[in-house]
Amino acid sequence: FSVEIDSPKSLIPLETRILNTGLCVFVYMISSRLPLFGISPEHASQRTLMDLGVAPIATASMAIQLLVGGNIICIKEKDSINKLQKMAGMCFTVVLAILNIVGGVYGPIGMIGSLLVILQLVLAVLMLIYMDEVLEKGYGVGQSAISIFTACSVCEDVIWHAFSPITANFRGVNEPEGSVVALIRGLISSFNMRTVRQSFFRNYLPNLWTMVLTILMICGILYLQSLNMIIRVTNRRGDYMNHSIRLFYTATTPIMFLTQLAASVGKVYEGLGHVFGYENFTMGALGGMIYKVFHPPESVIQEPFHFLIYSVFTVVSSTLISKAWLELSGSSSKDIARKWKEQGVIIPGHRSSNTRKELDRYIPVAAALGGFGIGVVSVAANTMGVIGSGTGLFLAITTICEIQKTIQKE
Amino acid sequence: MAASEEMSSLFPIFILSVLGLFVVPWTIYRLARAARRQGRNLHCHCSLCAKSPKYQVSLWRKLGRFSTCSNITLVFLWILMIFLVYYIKLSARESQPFEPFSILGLEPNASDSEIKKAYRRLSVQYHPDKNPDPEANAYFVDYISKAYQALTDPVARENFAKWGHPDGRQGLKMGIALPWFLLNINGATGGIILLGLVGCGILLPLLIAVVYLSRSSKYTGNYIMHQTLSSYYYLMKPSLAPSKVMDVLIRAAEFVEIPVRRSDEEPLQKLFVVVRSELNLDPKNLKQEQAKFWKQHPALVKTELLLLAHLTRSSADVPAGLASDFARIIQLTPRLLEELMKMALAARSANGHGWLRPALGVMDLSQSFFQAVTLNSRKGSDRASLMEGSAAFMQLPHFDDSVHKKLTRKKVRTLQEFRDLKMDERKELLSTLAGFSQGQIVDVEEVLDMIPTVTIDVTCGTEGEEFVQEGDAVTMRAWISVKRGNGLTAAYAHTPYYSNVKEEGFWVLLGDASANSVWVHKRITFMDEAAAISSASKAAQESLEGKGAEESEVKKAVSEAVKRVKEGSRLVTGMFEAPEEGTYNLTAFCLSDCWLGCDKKVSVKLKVSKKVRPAVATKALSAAADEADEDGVEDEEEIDEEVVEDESGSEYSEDEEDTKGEMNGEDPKHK
Repeated sequence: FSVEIDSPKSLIPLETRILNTGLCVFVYMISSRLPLFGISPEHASQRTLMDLGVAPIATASMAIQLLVGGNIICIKEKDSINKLQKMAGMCFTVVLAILNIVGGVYGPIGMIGSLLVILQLVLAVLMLIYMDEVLEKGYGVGQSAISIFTACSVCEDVIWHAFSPITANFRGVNEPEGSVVALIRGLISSFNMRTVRQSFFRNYLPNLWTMVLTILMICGILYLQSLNMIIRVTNRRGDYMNHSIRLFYTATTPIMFLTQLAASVGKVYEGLGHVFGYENFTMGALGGMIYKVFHPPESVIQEPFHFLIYSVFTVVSSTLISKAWLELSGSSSKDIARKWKEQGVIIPGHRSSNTRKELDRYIPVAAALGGFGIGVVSVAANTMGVIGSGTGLFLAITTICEIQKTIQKE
Repeated sequence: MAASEEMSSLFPIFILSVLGLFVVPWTIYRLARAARRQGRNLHCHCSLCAKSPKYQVSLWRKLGRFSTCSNITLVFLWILMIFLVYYIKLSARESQPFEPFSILGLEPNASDSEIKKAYRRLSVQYHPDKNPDPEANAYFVDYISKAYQALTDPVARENFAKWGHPDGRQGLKMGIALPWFLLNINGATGGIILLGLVGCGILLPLLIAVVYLSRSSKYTGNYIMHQTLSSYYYLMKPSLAPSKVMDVLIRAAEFVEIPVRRSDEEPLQKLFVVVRSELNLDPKNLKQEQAKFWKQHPALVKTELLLLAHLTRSSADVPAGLASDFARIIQLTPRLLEELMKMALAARSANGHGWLRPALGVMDLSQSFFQAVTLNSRKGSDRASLMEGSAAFMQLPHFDDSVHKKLTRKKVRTLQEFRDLKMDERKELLSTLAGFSQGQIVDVEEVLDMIPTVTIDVTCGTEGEEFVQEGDAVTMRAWISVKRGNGLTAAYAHTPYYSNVKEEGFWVLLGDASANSVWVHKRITFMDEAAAISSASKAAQESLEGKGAEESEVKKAVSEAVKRVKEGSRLVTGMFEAPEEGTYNLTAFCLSDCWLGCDKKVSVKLKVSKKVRPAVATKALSAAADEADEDGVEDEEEIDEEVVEDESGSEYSEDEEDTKGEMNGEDPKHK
């Protein structure tokens, strides 16, 4: 799988690029509905081809970038980094698949069954890798397939929460799962306040209150995202340009990193649990700690201590990761100053050697503040229990905004 | 139980809410658009245009315009939604959660004896021993006895208090809100549903995508075939004569695609007789030339003949067999003309300049096409003095060659002169010379009011600099303003022989006529005022901020720009790289793509001085840098900067202070 996709020779028209993106999403959606072949029937409904999803690719590419950025492995060419990322992604897939099988996620399956499952998962991830590359190389809109797929599943969640056709029988009454459907039923079918109130505040099925919170959250994130500060710069010719430093300078990387970390830790814990059993003291304590650190409490008032641990951990770590990411990903003020110097871009009123100092006033602050903000937003979102989790919402909004900007530009 | 029935009553609710998700925003969007479009009456009111079907607004036509596919679907969906609401209301049954008191027909907190009494009364009614009906039996078991139990049995009572049901916790039983026949997947319906799902959900989208992709590989983003573009690019020559532009135009792959039938031959021969005079065949060896003409690719022959038929206004002579091809060619041509123009202006040399001569030729053809006048009738027109032949007069309704000749005898040679006459004089001339009736004169006046008077005001310069130096990015700012007798800014052109509505468009070119090169080119229309306002104010703001002007100054400039746009001007900006040192006599053109005789040109002098030093350095660095500037020796930035740093040890602190001030000024904005 060291085959590389060529960059397009000329700019591809927008409609075709949108279509390509749509097709990729379509394929992703279909394959996230296809059950894995060869697993026991009772697990088949939840375990699909996309069981591992984009996690292995995301983790692998992030890990490789960390290693390269931290100069732990010295590779300079972009090609070989790409190849390494692909390799690592495949390896991760195999490891995760084996962990899942050992963990009994797919039920009791034999040797052949496990091989089949691993093969399917590996092929699915390979497909994702190439779809990601196709979109990244400029055949589609948006930056990468990973973020687009995440955005898609978040959107799907939101739509499903509102308009799900599933019904649930609760206390002898059939209730629609979708909250908007429930509201409409309360308003039209047999108007009574009880049904309307229930569609807002029921806790056994998706309710409208969560929906409202989610919408508020989306507005909040949109506002925070629009915050930026503009530095006017000029190039050699004297053209003025605006270089904007956004508040979320490092974007969603830190929080994605945290999520991946949580998932990996969870997986490893599960694997360990199968070897040592969950009952002994160490595993119990470990499980409790992992739970307290990575998962929001059910209710803040009942578990204030848990909430404190969780929020402090999330906010502090996302701030730190955000700052660290600056250095590793090559978007720190030093890198930008060097790039500007090569292009002959300077900030008016400051000489070229001073550019870095000038940028230092903004970029690290923006990164730290952004990391802090993302942490707070994510804690708030997860504690309120919005649809699609704080990270998901964040990523979805960023991606959709980006795509919308691309379309508008053309 | 009634579970499946209830499921199917939930199904319409589900459908309703999903429908609402699409229909409500869509309706709002359509309504808003309809409201915006109303009150737009931009076309010409002469009798020719009034008669033409493209502007007619009869009730029938209104109905026709309303009954587009999307509108009909929208109305249909609303009807469906209303029907669904009605149906839901009708089939609504109060489905209560389990409430033992109400089942027994009692007030809450009824005493034990009352409960027993009620239970006995209902047993008489529903007990299987007394009532043979199976439904009554089920009701008795599920409701009455359960309710009685819940109120008498202590365990059940506790369960009821805790879980809401006497049997203990009732888990969530999942179902799907689909009508029962869709859920009954065992029989033959299962296969059909599966087929339907696979067909509509997977195969259909894929098929559409494949068809689209295979089409789009042939077409560019502007619905022009790739092949057309490449042949235009290849055939476009720097010295393409205006009369030869037509020969290039007809080489479009779209035209070649139009089939030539065997039955076409005879009508084409007839058409050839009609338009022969326009083919410019050499009269000396007519036979040879004719044979040569017919030897071309039959599709090219057909296209050229049909286009000429349009230009000579003899579309009535087009035989019935060719009518559909004729309509297709007329429909395709505007798009192709625009693309041809782009090909003429495409960057051919290293400095990104296009060709001027072919561009002017294409615009000539475009004007002739929309006004349906022949290229020959433009002969004698001279671009330099903007004199035209009879062609410009032919735009006016009821005019023909004889009227034009009579006018020429009266010393009214150009359209501009004719427009400059006083209205009374014009009326007099028309009625006495040409024998026009009152109505015809009104028509002429209507069209004259429609013809725009274009003025163009061009400045060129480097942003933030006083002089233009070699290699600078020079910005051209051109204010194009349009004035009409009837006061409209945006308008549909008077094009009675072109069967569609034509939005006016203008090409703004800045070029060097002697070098046959176009440096900057832009196409503008006057339709979208809001976009023009925003772009003009943005341009004004940026140019002033680049100079570091005060905020109040910027505001003033922006409001002025907005005012200018509202008065009927548009700002066109373009960038080009300053050429080598020297003085250039440039010409700025504003060419209409559909009106004859309202093109404007002004000459622009561009003085490019020698490159002294990077413009940035002089601006950005203060006094010390200026001294170095006067020396004017160093060309490289690196050296320059070192020199500055050596000289300006004291400058350093000043810079620092500067930035602090800046920070204090800017911080509050970003908090």
